[in-house]
Amino acid sequence: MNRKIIIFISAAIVVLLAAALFWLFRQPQNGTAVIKSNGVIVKRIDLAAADDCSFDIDCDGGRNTVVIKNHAIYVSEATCPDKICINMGELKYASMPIICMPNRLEIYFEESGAGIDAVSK
Amino acid sequence: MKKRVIAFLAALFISGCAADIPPYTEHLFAMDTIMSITAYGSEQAVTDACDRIYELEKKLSAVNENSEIYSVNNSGGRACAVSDETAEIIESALSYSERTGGSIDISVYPLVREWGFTAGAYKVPSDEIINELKNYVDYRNISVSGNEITLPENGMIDLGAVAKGYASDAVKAVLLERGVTSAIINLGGNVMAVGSKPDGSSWTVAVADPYAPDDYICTISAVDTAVITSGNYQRYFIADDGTRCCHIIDPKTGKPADSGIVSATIIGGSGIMCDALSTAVFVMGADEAEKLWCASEDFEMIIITDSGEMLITDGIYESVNVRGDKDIKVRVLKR
Repeated sequence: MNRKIIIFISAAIVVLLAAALFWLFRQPQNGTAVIKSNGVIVKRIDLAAADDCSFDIDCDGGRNTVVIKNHAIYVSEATCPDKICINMGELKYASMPIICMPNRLEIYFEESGAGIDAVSK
Repeated sequence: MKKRVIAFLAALFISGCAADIPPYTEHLFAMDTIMSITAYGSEQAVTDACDRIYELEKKLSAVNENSEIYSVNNSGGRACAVSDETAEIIESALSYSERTGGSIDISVYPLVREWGFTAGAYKVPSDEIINELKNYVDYRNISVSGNEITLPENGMIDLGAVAKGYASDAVKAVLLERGVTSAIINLGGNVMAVGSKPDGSSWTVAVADPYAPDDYICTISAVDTAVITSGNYQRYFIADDGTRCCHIIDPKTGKPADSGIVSATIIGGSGIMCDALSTAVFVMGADEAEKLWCASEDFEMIIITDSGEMLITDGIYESVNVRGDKDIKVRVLKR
C-alpha cells in the first residue's frame, strides 16, 4: 500500500479517536439536570427540551437564582458569601456538579456520564 | 495465538462479572463541603462510610461547640484531653509541618478567622492585627502528650488542611473492611480511588482548570490512590484594591498565599499526606515544591502556575492526559 495512504488512514483514525474521546468526556451535555435543595429534589429538567427561563431556589433564608439558557443551566445570583456556585458557570460534566454549600443547593446531571469518575479541585 | 484467545476470553469473563456488581452512591453535606461516595457491591458499606464521616466531623470541626477541636481551642493554655484518633491526626499534621518547614501549619487558624474565611465575612485585616495574630502561629508550640493537647494561651488550631484527606483514608478503611474493592470517594474535590473499576480499568480523575473552574484541564488514570488539589480559584474574595485573596493563608506572612502557584495536585497512597502536602506546596511555591518532591518517594504532583505552566513529576507523567485545547505549557520534572 502506498505510504501516503497509510499515513492518511492513521491520521484519520487518530482524529476519529480524539473526537470520540472528547465526546465521551463531555457527555452528558444536555441531559436531565436535577436540582436538590437541602438534600431534597425540587426540580428535574430535561435541558434538551427546556425553554429559556430563570427561577429562585430558597433555603433557610438563602436564595440562588437558577438560569436555563440555550439548553444549559447555571446559577446567576446567590446570597452566599463565596459565590462559588456562580463561578462554576454552566453545568458541563456529570462529575462536576454546581454546589452552593451555604444555601445547600446541588445541581447535577441525572445521568452518571461515562468519561470522568471524579474531579479533584 | 492460543494465549491471546485465553486472555481475550478471560477479559470478557472479568468484564461480564464486573457488569453484575452494582454501584451504590451517597451524597452528603459534611465538613463544610459536599461529598460523594460510590462503592461497588455493598450499599451497607456506603451507609457506614457516611456515618464515619459524620463521626469525624463531630470530633474535628473547629466551629462546632461540642467538638474536640473546639475544646482544645478554648482550653486557655491548659492541657485538653481528646480521643486517641484526634491526637493521632494532630500529630500527623505536625509531622507534615515539620517536613515542609512550616508551610502547612494547623495553628494558623486565628489568622484564617480574622480574614473571614470561617464565617464568610471576608475582610483584609490591618498589618498590626496580622502581626499580633502571627505571634500565636507556630506549630512547634503545640504539645501532644499521649492524648492530651496543649496550645499556648490564645493559640487555636484548625484541621481543615488535613481533615478531609484523613476522612478519605478512614472511608477507604471502612469500605475495605466491608469487602468493597472498587470505589471512588470524592470529599469536596479530595478524591480517593479505591482499587480499580470493577472491570479492572483505571479510574479517570480530572483536575479542575484553575483558569476556568467549571471545566477540567487534565485527567489522571488512577488506581488505589488519592488525588488531592489545593487552589486559589474555589474560595477567595477580591479586596478593594483588586487583589485576589484566597483562603489558604501563608503561616509566615499571615496573608493569603501568593507563591505563583494557582493549583497544586498531590497524588499518593495516603489521603492525609496528599491533603497536607497540597496545601504546603501551594504555599511554598514551585521551586521549593520541586526540592521537596526530589527528596521524597511517596508522592507525585501536578502544579499549575500563574504564568500558564503545568509542572508534572515524571512518576505520574505517563498517567496524565493534558487537554490539547487548553493553552498551557507542560514541563516534566525529573529527579
